[in-house]
Amino acid sequence: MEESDILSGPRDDEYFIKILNEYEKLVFSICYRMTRNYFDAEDLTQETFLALYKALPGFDRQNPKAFAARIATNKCLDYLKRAERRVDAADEEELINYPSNEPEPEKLLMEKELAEELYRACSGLKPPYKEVALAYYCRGRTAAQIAASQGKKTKTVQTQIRRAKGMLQKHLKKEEMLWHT
Amino acid sequence: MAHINEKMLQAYSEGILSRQEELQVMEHIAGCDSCAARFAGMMSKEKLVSPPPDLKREILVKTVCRKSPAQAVRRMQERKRERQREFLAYSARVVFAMAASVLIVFTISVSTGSKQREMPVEIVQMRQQEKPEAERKNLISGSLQKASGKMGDALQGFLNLFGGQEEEERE
Repeated sequence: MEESDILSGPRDDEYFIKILNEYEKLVFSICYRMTRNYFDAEDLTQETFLALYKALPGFDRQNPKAFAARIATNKCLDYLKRAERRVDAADEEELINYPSNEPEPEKLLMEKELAEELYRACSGLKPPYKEVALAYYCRGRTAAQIAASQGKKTKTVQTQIRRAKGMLQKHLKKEEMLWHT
Repeated sequence: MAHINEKMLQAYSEGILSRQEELQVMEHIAGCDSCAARFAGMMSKEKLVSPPPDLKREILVKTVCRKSPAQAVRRMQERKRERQREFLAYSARVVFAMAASVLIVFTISVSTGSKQREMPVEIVQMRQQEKPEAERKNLISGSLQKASGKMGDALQGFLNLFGGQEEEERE
């Protein structure tokens, strides 16, 4: 990279898109590995790239992979500290109600197992969230593609995905709380 | 602080450390480029998981194109087209250079046809056998056809290469 690339707006954008294309999967995987929660990993990946975008003008562009991994790790640390505080504040009695034979949340799922778990979780939702979540999270269809096939507006599908994600996230949180206590 | 040793980093990348150890490793990686690079290098393909399909788009909307999502998509498409154009221009230059060099070789061989010392071997042999004019013409046009056939193959090769690249990008 040339020196003149640093601190120039449009070129930063181009460089950012390049980093996003190359390391989105890596950053997401790091976040998933550390949180063991697919939906929190989604949020943290977004936070990571937002922070990376802001930090780009001061970045020397020597090792973008390490740079992305470092920011992702920072975001995950913040998240874990937040989560610990949440568990400390939680009412323990409430947690006793959860069955003890729930899937082991500590176990780190590989891609295939994760796909199975996602499928199970999405299948548990009510319509229309179930159909949308299955198409989006399990079959890899974008909101625009789902909207086209279901004759809906893209905005409507995006809202449904967001709501489905909220429900799935809550569901996984309960399992997590159980693990921490 | 000392860098994280290989064994520890490997265990961390496999997710088998205790939460306490994990936090210690993370604290270090968060501030150390060299350990972050080593850790990122350990995240092999089988350890990666695919993010949801619209995540990239959502990130672009919040960064590069804060105003319109359509702009974000357009930008990505523009970049793709730009790369394709660059490749096409490069291929065109190579094909042109090849065509030019073939043309030069034939111009030289045809224009120096009367000079014995610069003649192609085939023509020299033919002259020595004193073949009729018509047959000599056939031989030259035959070589020309052969050469243009080779050119066509080369061009097809480039087109295939380009087509292959397009398909790769579509994945």
